Amino acid sequence: MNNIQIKKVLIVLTVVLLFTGCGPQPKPPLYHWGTYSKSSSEFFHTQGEPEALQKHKDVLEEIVNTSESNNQRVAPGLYAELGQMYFKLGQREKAISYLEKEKTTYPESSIFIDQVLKQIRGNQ
Amino acid sequence: MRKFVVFASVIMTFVLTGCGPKISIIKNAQLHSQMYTSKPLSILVLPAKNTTTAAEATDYFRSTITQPLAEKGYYVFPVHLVDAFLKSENMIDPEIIRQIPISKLKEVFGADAILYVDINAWDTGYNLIGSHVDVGLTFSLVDTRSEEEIWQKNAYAYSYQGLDGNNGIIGLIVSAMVTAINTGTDYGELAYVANRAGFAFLPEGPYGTDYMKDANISITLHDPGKLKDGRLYVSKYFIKGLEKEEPVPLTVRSRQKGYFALVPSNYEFFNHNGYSNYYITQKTKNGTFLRNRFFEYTGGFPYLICDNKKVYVEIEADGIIPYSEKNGEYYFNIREIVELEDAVEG
Repeated sequence: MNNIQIKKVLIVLTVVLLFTGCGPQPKPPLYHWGTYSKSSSEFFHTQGEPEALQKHKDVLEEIVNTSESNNQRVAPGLYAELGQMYFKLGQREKAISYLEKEKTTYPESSIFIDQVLKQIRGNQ
Repeated sequence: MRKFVVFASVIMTFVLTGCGPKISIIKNAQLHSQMYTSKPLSILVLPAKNTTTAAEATDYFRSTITQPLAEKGYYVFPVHLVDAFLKSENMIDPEIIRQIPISKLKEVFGADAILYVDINAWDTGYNLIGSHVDVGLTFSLVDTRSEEEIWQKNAYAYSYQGLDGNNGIIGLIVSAMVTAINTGTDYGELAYVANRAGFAFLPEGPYGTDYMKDANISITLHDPGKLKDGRLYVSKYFIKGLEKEEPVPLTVRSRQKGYFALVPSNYEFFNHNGYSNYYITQKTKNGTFLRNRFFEYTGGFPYLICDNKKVYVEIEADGIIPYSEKNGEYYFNIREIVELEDAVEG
C-alpha cells in the first residue's frame, strides 16, 4: 500500500467519522455567543412579548459585556441587535449608541445602520 | 456503534482490495473557485423560502443561521433588525422580499452577497422505537456586483429521538414510553446543525483565521458515478431508487439517536425514489429553473464530481437533466469536463 492509498484510507475513515457525528474537534470559536441562537429563536416565536424581549436583551448584554471584558470582538450584528432591543424598550439614547458601536466595529454595516438611525431619529 | 464498526471495516476492506467506492479528493479553491475571486465580506441572509408543509420551520432556520455563518468569518447583517427594517417598508412576505432586485438590496444594505435559503424537504415520522425529522436545505450565495451565484450547497439533517437498536423487547417497551413522553424534537437544534453543516465547506471570510489559506484544504467526496467512453455512468439506484409508487422522502438509510447533518455527495446512502423525483424550483436573474438536489451547480449548470473532475451533464432548457439507458446501464451525456488537480498528489 503506497502513501496515497494510506492517505485515502485515512480520509475515508474521517468521512465515516464525520458521517456518524464523532469527527475531529472544531476550531476554537471566533466569538463569544452565550445562549444567542436559543434566545434568538425564542424572540422570533414570541415577537413583541415583553418577557422574551427583556430576556433577549439580557442575553445580548451578557455577550457584549463578556466579549468586551475579554478584549474579544463582539460577533457581527449583536451590537446592532442590542440597540434594537433597547429601542423596543423605549431607551432611544442607548439604542443609538449601540447602533453606532456596530458601525465602528463593522464599517461594512454603515450603509444599513445609517438608514436605521435615520428612522429612529426621525421617530422623535 | 456496532453498525459503525461494520460500515468502517467494509470500507476498509474495499479500499484495501482496491475495488471499493471511488472517492475524489479536490482542493477547496477548485471546488469553490468563485468564492476566491469574489471575496465577499458582508452577507445579507434573506428569509428562507419554505416549500414544505412545515410552516413553523422557517423561523428556526432564520434565527440559527447567524452564528455558524459569522463563525466562518463573514459579516452577517442582524436578522431581527433586517426583518424590522423591511417590515417598516411594508415588506413582510418572504416571497415578496426574495423578489427585491439584487441591485436594490445592495443599495439599501451595502451587502457584498445575498444568501438565499430553500427549505425543500421536511419529513417526519415515528414508529414503536422512535421518532424522526429529516430536513433538506439548499443555500445559494449571490454576488451583488456581478449578480452571479458564487456558491451553492445542499445540506441534509435529521433528528432521531428514541432508542438505538439492539435493546431487545425491553428496549422496545421502554422506547415506546420514551417516544410517548418525549413530545418534541428541538427544531432550533436541528436547524442549527443543518445550517452549520451547510457552511462546513464554505471558504472562510475575511474575519476567519484561515481566510484565503483554506484554498489548499482537501475535500473528499464519494464519487456518485463513473466516467467511461465520454459518458457519465451512474447506478440503477441513482436513476430509479427504491422504485416505490408513493413519494419517497430523501432520508438516510439508518439513523442514530440525536441530531446529525451532512453535505451529501453520494445518494447511495439515502432512501430515495430516483434522482428525477427531487427537483426544486429556483429563481435566478435569468428566469426560473428546475434544480436537482442530487447535483452540484456552477453558474446554473449541474455537475457531479467524479474521478477528480467536475463532470457537467447535459440539461434541457427548463433545467431537466435527462438520462439514457443502454443494455441495462444508465448514463448522462456530458456537456463539459473540468479537470481538477488531485489534492493528494498535488
